[in-house]
Amino acid sequence: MRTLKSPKQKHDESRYYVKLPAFEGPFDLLFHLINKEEVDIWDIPLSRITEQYLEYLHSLQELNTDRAGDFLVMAASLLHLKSRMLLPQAPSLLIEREEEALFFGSKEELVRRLLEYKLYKSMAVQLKKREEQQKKIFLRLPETRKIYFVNKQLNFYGYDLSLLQHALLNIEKKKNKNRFKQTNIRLPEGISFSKKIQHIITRLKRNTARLYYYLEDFLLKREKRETVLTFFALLELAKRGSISLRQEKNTDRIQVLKKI
Amino acid sequence: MQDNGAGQTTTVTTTAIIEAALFLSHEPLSLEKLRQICGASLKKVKDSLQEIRADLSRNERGLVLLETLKGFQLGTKPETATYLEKMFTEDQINTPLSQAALETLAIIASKQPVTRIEIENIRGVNTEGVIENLLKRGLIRIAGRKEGLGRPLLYEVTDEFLLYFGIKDLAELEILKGLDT
Repeated sequence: MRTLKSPKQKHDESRYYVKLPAFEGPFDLLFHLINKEEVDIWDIPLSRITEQYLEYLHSLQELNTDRAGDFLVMAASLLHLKSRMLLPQAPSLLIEREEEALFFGSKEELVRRLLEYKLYKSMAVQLKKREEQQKKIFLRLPETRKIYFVNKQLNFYGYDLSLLQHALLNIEKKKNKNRFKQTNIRLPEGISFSKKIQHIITRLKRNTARLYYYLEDFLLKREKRETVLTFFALLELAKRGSISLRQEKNTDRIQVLKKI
Repeated sequence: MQDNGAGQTTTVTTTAIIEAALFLSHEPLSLEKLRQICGASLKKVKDSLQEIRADLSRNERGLVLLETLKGFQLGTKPETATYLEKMFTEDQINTPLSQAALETLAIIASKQPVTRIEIENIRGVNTEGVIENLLKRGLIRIAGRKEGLGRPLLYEVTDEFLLYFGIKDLAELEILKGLDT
């Protein structure tokens, strides 16, 4: 049986779609436009490029608001430059000031910025190639540390049950030694949880030069009950996102950072 | 001379010790460290590494000897990758870096230590999320603060960065800069 296409469908098919490539930023887009023109970067036809740049922005159905700002600053910069080049040279003193919000103040600066961006863009391509090569090489995972512990403790080829038993007893002994004696913990008198939190924040804020503290800075040299309270306060702050806790690698000291 | 088996029944060569040490280690071993482990001369260590490298280059072997800033490390042969991937789930394998991340890394590696604003000036686009992601992946770290207004944070690349891209040192990176696409 033949299926008939609905008129609406037909209409959709005849529509002309252009798939637009995504650009990393305004410089990236500008580059693409200049490359298409096949001109030397020092002789950019400014008005044509500006036109095409604006056309591209219009062609986007919706601008992602996150990134729109940066693209619009470029549009403004291009238009500003174009208008300045049309006008007779004004005394430069007055104009220089107001340009801080723009990407560039002159065509030379635009070219310089474009060339700088191009350098890093091509470096990124090289890095990408390296990443692809390197992704095919697997390295050992850090957890392998455990393997040599086992081999050292027990002789794999000649072990008997008594050896295993001995090892087990050793572990039990160690565990008992390390275990905190169970105590009922009451909060220290005269200091509340919220006060403790406040203390920590003040301490972190007081010293702006210091990038981070170590966890021990807060926990050592205190009474056990207060240590527990401080520890909970730090966890709460981390949960709220007021501080972050960081550890470079396993067994390293834990760092406490103010949230940037 | 190289038989350093301390009077035991089997003789062990420096090459064997180095191979074993590299097998066991999960981080690069420097020449000095290898020299200490096997107690041989630096020249002997270098020769042994050369021997291992030559041996591994045979088709029958599945490993490669990698050289990084920090030293030597064993890795798997690139040709085995498609098979080894079956050992892992999707989320265990690093997702490739985005174009934005690569551009940002290129800038940081070349100009470090740099601030976020300096990076954004070059890229012309907000880079906050990218930096956060790179910090999380351990490819860059905070190098301190810049003196001056606002004392903004400075960023630099880590050893993990060198390892990730298989770059021996930052001088090698300079060469990448010269190459065009």
